Amino acid sequence: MKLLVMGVLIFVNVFLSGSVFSQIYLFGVAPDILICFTASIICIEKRVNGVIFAMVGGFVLDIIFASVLGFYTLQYFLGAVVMYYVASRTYTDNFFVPGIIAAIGIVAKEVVAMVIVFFMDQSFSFFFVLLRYVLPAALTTGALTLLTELLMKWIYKFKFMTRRATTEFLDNL
Amino acid sequence: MARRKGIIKNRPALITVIIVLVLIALMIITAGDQNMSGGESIVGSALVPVQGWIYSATDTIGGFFERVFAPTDLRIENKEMREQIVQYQNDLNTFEELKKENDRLKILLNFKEDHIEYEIVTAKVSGKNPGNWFSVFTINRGVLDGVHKDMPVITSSGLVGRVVETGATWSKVMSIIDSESGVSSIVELTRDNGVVRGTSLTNTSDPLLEMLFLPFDADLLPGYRVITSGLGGVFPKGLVIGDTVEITRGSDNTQKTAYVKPAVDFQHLEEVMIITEFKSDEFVPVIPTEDDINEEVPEEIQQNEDDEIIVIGED
Repeated sequence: MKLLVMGVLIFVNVFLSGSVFSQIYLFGVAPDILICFTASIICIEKRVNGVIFAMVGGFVLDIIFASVLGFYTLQYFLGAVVMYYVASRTYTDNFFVPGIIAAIGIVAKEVVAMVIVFFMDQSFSFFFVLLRYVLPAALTTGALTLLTELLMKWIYKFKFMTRRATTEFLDNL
Repeated sequence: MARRKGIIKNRPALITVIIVLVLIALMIITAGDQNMSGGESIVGSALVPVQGWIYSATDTIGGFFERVFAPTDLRIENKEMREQIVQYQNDLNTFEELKKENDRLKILLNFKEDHIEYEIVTAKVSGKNPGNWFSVFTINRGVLDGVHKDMPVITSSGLVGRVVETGATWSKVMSIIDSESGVSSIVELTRDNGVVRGTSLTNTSDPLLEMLFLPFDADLLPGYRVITSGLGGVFPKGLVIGDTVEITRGSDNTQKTAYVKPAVDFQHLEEVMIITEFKSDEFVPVIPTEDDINEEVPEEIQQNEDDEIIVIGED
């Protein structure tokens, strides 16, 4: 059941990324909904499930939008790895921490994108892109993560989202 | 050596490195091959209609909430009346959306009637890629509708891009504002040739194109129209690309670059047209075959067989 919920969430994220969030660009900046959910999952679970979630989401984005397979997958995978690394060394119960982790994830993801684009022989200014696009996107994504965190916490209250039956057994003792 | 052992022992790091290497290999493999695999086509065929529905519904939902939260004098109305008004407003919003769509389709139809030299298939935009790096969007027409790779995509305003991959019922379109895109173009007034390319990221909310390889003596001013030149055979000649907004000199003082504002509003693309067939204006030299040379001997030459005949290309 948890797998099904995660699958549905991935597709909802992909659909929203390709429609709502690609249409509401303000001055070229839009929050990244897939990073928001990934950060929320990583902060709640503190397991690699969030990394897998981001990777599968990135791969579906690759299939639908990218002309080169792996472009989004690599970005989201490494972005999620960085978020997981930070989350595993941070006290994430604070309400604002998932937002900060999501912002870090966006920076990591966009740096990966810059490296890929650099090797595709595209010219751009690193600092211009960082200040003009990446940091504002990190801020908006961080803010939106505060909402997705609430949603994910609500979803994780359901029994089917608990990790193992033993956890429930221990709780009942 | 110690570091190598450390990486191998660190299982998560090792898995991460392996996944990164696999993904880089996947990117390199698929970079050259732009044909969509069967799996991609099937997954896309299942997802793109849903994506398209959400994409088109975004405007409607946005409009609905704008109306619901608009400051109106609802305090004097009772709950039933409010619900009724919301319902009417929802209907009105749907009606307005349909009216707008009808207007847009009318424009497309007029364009189609005015350009009988093009075979056109209309399509709806079903999604756009997230992020700022590239500009690829999906449409709800594919191979089954006669859409194939490299077909030009336009609106009544001008050139949008070209089809880069096709599935059974959907396709990916790379727009001209994508930095990977390049269109052979010409300045309508001065007839200066160049190549229009998308710029990766600009400091403006509207995307700009750059027209490269313009001759240094090109006498250009802002506001000049740029159209497709027809060279290369992908795009027909004369499609509007945009207007020049700024002209700069190259650092080596041998070429000029013009920045072009695209004629198409890429932020609000909903319907597009795919040119499935067009008459190319490109000059194709007719090279006579050996049979043609032998058959078409002018009468004057036949009469004077003893005269010396010089055939170009032969000793």
